[in-house]
Amino acid sequence: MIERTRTVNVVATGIMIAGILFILAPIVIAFLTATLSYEEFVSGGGIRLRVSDHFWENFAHVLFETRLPAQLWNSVVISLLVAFIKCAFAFTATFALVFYKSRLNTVIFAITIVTVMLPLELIVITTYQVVANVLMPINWLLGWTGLDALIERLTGSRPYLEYSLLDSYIGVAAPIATSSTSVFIYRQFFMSLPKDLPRAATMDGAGPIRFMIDILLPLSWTPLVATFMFWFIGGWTAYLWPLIAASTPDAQPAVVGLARLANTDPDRIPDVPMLMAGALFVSFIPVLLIGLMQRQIVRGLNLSEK
Amino acid sequence: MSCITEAKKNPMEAEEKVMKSTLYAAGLAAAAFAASAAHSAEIEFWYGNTGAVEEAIQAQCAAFNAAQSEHVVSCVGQGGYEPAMQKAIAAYRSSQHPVLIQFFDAGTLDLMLSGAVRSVQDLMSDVDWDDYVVGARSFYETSTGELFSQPYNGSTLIFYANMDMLGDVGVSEIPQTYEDVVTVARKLKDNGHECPVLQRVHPWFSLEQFSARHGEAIASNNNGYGGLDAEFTFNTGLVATHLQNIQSWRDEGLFRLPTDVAGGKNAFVTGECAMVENSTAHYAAAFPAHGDAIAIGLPPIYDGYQRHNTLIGGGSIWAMQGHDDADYDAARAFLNFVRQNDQQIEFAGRTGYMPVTNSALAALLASDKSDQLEYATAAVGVGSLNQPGDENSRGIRLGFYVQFRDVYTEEVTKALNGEQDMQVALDNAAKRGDELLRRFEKTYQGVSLP
Amino acid sequence: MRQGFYSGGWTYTLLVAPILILIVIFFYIPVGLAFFWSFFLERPFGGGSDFVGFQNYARVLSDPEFWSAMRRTLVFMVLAPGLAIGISLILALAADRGLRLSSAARNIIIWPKAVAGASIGVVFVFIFDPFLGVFAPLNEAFPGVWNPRTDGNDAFATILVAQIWNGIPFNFIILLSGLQAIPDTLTKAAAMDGAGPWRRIRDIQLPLLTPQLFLTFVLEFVGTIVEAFGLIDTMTQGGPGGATTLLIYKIYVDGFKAYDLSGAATQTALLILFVGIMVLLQFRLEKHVKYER
Repeated sequence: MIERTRTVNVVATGIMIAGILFILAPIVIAFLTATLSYEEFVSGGGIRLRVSDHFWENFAHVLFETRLPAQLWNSVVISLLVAFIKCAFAFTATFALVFYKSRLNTVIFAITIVTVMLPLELIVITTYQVVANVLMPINWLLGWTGLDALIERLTGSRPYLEYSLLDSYIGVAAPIATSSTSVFIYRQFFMSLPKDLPRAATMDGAGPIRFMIDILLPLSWTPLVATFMFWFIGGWTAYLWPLIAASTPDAQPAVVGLARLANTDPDRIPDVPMLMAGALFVSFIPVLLIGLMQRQIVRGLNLSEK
Repeated sequence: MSCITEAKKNPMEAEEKVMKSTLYAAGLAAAAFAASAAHSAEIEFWYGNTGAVEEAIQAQCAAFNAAQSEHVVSCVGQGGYEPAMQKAIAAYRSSQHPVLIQFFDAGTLDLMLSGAVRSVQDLMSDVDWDDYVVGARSFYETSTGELFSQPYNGSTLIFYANMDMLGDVGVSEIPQTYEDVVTVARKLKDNGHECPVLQRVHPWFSLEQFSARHGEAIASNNNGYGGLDAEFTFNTGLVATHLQNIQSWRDEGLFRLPTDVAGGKNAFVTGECAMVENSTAHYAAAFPAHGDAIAIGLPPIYDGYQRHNTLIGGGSIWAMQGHDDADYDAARAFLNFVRQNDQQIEFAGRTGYMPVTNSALAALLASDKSDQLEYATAAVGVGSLNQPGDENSRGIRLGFYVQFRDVYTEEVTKALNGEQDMQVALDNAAKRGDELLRRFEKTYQGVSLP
Repeated sequence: MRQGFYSGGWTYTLLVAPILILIVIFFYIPVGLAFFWSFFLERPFGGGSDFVGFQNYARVLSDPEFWSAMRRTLVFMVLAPGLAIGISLILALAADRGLRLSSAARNIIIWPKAVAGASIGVVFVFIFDPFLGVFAPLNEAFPGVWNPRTDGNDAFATILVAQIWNGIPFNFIILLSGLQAIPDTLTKAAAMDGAGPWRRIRDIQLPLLTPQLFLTFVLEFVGTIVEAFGLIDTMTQGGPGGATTLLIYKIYVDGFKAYDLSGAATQTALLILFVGIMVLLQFRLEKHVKYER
């Protein structure tokens, strides 16, 4: 029995070593390559398993001669916006869905949950049109109701509203934030709370909003922090939507900036060492976050208990 | 339109100003704002380039704004030709579009039919448009010879050879014909050279520029200049022979594709390959690598063919519809400014593009700049654009052409990888291309080609 | 759904309004517009928009390119989640044994979750470069064995490996959490009865892990569509010869590079229907999943 367990443990350790190596290999190769100079890379003919001493040079190039630092800031703002919208909007809505009596509960829940099934990437073509003029629906409304003709008769000009969110932080963040997975997670959490909570709060003289802010919010800290960080990372790694919604380099997040950097100069061999330094640069914040907070995230997303 | 430019600058305030009408935009705004603005205006110019070219464009804008006080042009980079076009489409649909926009060669037809642009020749009838070099002019003019957009950043195809490598096998002249290229390539190969000729597959190299300089059509109706009912014909012409030649030359080890060599499409720069057809812009990377060993010449043609002009690549500037007179005054001033000889020469020097008018080229050649590295390709490149043209070397005027380029690349790549016969590949590409043309024709039903 | 406690019109409205406004504008209108455009031939600059009924659908559905993109999408959606979940499961079973390496594995294997697909692409395209990458020595020994730039299967494989690298972490964490939630007493009792490790996996751990396996499958299925775009755009641009053009990439190219708004919208509508049907099927499957412990 002991002998057999040992064999199994050896196999299990082997599997884990293989898994860790598979995960680490690309990161290690990226790091090693980032230590090469461009000349070493071009003449050396590719991957070499040794550390050279040009890492800071490449890193300095990324810092001072590319737009990545400014774009890193864009990423921070966009990701914070995504995370905030996803958490705040879902929190208030889920509170209403769970603690209010309403015939609309089921319908609203269904409406929000559909967004989880169809990611933004599927509908970028038309989302682009909407974000290019977010007031378009109001124009339609005016058209359908005939109000525009009325206004035209009164003022002499036909109203046409326009407001473009392209290249703005909110324009990039808002469509990403539509995916309402949070509603699902918070709902599960709220339902696990004692049923008499709101009744007790009412006896203490607290109304629903008071109850939400003073009692529910502190109780929900664990799932809120976890989802916030998870959506922050989700906003950070988004690519297709920011790629088209933010076309000017000043508005692009770092991930898009890195991909653009990879083909800025088509007439020479790409500066792979610098690109690898750039890839590490745009990834360190979310990797650090998930490395340090993984226990909180796993616990808060309610993945462990079911 | 000043309310629009303001709206872009300050989105927070813009909410109050968004109430405006399309009519108002077209006519009333002119009356309302023209009074205070006299004939000066602040307009936007959208462009797609990034990197060094973007810096040159910004410098040119700054120079324009400094040179006169009447108008202000703000140049807005959109991060690429495609995003710029996409933005312009969305902006036009909600009438927030700029007065001037730069766009790349392959989108010419889309813009011509859009109804969203007005021709520069109509905008400025007093300019000597015939000063533009043949290949540049014909690409952007209508079938009746009206120039639609002003050529701006122009490049074209030339031939590069590494004369050190060619010298090793006793060749001292850059080859002019494919027959010569192959002879030299055999010598190089026999001398142990791994990559005598680098050949790009992209249709700009293997189809468009090739057909133009041989005076061959790639589609009926003179490549679509004669009407939207054009059909692809390249699959039965010289292109088919050429691609089959490329395939057998590749099998023989004379030609290499970018996918065959470590340096990819830059294998000439890295010194792997001895000869290559490439854009004039490639010189900026090739010269630092090999210095005086580089020779450039007109791209090769087959023996027995009359040489025609090559096509212009790069971009041109378009004027969009729906703005008032003051805006167009500013646009005229800017277009005139960038056309000046010294501006063209300055721009070419900073970017590696070429001057696009004959007088600018003459001014360059007469100046002491002509032997500087930055201008080395100008004479050869413009020389290639100025070869006698015919109805098949004017340009490409085919619908959904960007999509067709992908189709062509896909099919030809499959053939070169041995997955299908080359003739089958070309027939497929032509057939799929025709489907795109028919759909394009249908989308623009009732619109006649200018 | 349990009965709520509060009642009240306007606070309820205020609480649900933000999310509803957000998803109506940025989700439902775009979805609706895609279906709307799929019945029109839409000119990019506007000014002409002809109702054509189902002609766009007829054209897309008879286009062999659409079907090969669809086929590649399907193959990718079976292989990538299948492999990512399979490998994660093996890793999780190994890590669940509480060995010395377990916590290291737990801490490291989650990292790729935080790396964007496009960043992974920039790194992997270099790692798999036929002349510069890890397989370069192989190519020197046997020229032409590995070349994702010309060989469609090689290119597809590189995208697949990158996708799996990206997909393992989250699945691993979910499955490991699931395994650790299985009471020790159950496995110990089985061990007492003489059940070997393989037997215990098959008879106890896997059945009890069904909810987590289902969850990973649902998440990975949708995630595959999302992450694959960044990988394709940075690694292969859909090539060579269209071998890595999944439907999501084709839609992007048609709509944003070729101004074919109607074609792109029609394919979007079809993809929405496809994903919708797949998700519904998955939830029908869920009825067979045991949630009781």
